[in-house]
Amino acid sequence: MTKTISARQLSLVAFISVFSLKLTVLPSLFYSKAGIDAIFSLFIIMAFDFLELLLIFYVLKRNQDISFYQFLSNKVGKFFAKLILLAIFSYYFFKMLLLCSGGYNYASLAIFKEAPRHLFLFILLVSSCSLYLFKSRSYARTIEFFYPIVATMFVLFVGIALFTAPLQDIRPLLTTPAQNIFESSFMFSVLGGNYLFMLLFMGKIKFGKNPNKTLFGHVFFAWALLMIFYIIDYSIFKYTAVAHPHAISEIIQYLPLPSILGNFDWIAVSFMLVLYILQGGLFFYCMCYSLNKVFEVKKIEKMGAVSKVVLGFVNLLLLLFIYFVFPTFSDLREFAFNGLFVPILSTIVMLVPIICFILEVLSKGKSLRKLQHLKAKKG
Amino acid sequence: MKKLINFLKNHPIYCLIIIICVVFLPGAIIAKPQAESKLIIRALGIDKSGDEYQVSAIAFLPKASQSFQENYKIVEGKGKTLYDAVSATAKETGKDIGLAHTGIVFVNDEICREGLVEVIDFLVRDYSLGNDTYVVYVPSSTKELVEAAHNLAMSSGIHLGDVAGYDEKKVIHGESNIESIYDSAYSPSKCSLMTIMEMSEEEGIEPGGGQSAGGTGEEQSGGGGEQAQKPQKKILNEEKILILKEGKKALILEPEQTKKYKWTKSSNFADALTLENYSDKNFKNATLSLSVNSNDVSQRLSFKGGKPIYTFLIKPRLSIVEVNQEDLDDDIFIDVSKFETEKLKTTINNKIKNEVYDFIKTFVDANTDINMIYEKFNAEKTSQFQSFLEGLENKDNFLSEIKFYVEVDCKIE
Repeated sequence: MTKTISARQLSLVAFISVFSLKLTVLPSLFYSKAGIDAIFSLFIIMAFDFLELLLIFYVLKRNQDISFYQFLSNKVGKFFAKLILLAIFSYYFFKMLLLCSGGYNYASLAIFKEAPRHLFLFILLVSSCSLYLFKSRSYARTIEFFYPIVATMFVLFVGIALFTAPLQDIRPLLTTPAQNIFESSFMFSVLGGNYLFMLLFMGKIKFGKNPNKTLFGHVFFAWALLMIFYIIDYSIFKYTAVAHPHAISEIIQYLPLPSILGNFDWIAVSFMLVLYILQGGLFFYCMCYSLNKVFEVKKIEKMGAVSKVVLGFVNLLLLLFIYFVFPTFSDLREFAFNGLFVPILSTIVMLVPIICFILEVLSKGKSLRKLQHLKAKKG
Repeated sequence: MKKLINFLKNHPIYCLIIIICVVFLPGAIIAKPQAESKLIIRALGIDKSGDEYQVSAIAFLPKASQSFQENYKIVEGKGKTLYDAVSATAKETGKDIGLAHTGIVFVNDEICREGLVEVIDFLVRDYSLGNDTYVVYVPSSTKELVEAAHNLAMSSGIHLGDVAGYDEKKVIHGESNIESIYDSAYSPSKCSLMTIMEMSEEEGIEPGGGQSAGGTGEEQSGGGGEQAQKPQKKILNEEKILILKEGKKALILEPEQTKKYKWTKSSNFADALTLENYSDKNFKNATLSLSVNSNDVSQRLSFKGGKPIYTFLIKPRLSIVEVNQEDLDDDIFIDVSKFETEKLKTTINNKIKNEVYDFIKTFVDANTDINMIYEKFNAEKTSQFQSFLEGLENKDNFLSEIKFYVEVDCKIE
């Protein structure tokens, strides 16, 4: 298979995939369920994601020449492979819905109240679709270009906040019942699962000499920044975090620099808009890849227009949900975070790497036994 | 033409760019600037009288002129809710209200007595208004103060928002904004501090400018000589602090008490200490003025017999800036380090100690946890403190059960 993305590029995509809604609405949602101990809820999601990353990395390294669909078909058969990909599609569909709706919610308040939703969606969907259509090599290069800008902006933001914002003592911790902490990790699990996308890049990754160092380095860097961000948010808004649903912009109000530099908010807004587009591209890739394989239509394949048809269909479905099913972000939030469907779907999808790992280990065991049997026969 | 169509077919991105330009560019070019459609409010005064809110605001109106003078106007509105009253201010100007640049909000006595947190609910929910906007208590009418602030800004360029910022740093040593008030209402201490500004006949800064504070333009022109002779009320900023408990007015710290309160706060801003009738080997019945260059305050929390003990550890660094004494001789200017005698240090330490004990008595009697003692104990000694609270008949009155000590160790530079 043609290798279109290097291990370094994959690690940069992993870095970018960690953020977006976790910097705006999630701190206040977490706080409403678990208070200041929401930091532990985030830690639980991080820990689970890290475990998944280890399992995914193992599976990827052992299957460098086949695609994820081929891998699943070989292990569980075509029917179950398509079922799993359908679940993955649904999972990323909800993530994209949250990105579109939550992103507009943030952008409209942070930039222009009067800006219509279709303007934001037009920009986001067109840019994200372009990133998908330009294929994974171009997407990876785009991430490589934006990574230093995004990382620098975020590090600058966190550094300034740490040293200038009026931080309060966040103790005492662990005063919330454990049930609330675990429940909030479960209810917001759709915002976890940051590394599942790597499975869909199976067969396209050029690992190179030392992929572990690059990959885990960037992953820890992202999580460290995120953890510090949450601590800063809860330290500034110790008792009212629930009333601040746009955390990254609201924290900026408490930095002394705005009085000197004027609209310091531009850092947060630019950073978030870039993140939305890059993440949107990734989600479109995941959704379209999954749907392509679920509905393999030979006629359209012959025309060479599979990607575009699937993309068009996904966009229509998104717009249908955004305008008719969940017309406001509150409706979507209610369904995604207070209902059970999305958390259960997220949990099922997050079991996929574990299932893939088990299948891989079992097949390794099987081939070892076969080899031993052959050796014994020869001997 | 065929070439162009083929080119666009092969490069669809250019089609997209053309579509974007055609759809969005005309609207963007003819759109009015936001400054023309929004009424930019710089200061907001909220008066409540009975069931009605009256809002006075200083609006910035961009106006082309050859001088660099900013153009402000006072707008007013009334309503049954704060939101109604604020919206009403913009109707006369034909613009939408814009609170993104509001730097300061004044609230009157009735609001603070009935409950400030309910009133600022609208201000918290309005995302365009920054929660770092200063909130200032005005004992009388905020309308008077807003008018005076307008005149002051027009005549001298002094903005009360800057004065409020100064008070935050050097009087309260904390925050007096929408977020801090809202935050403290939900904290265990339930206390927050607010700066106070008021109008005074005798002291303060004269607003100057067109209208006299408390009078409208029409009254001035109609009243003729009588109005013109009425002296302008002055804006007084006396370093008083309003203590809110559960969002309601609980205590006012007078300037003398504010000075005592400041000893309990770490700061790097210069303050003053005066010793009267002081004598030692260097001075004889002298009045010494010392500048407090910095003050480092920490606390020691402990328990004894199940009762909490809170010790203020105060370490000010001072320098002598003025000596008033009969018969000053040359020696007093030689080798300044000799001034730091044990007697002088002890005198300063005792004076600060007495002032802090006085302040402790004030806040304990008023049952206002200004120094967030609850939070400090709860953060460091959670289980012991919670057990102590469980053992109390009235948990709200925990301050009176705490033993306070003050240790001062000054250094003269």
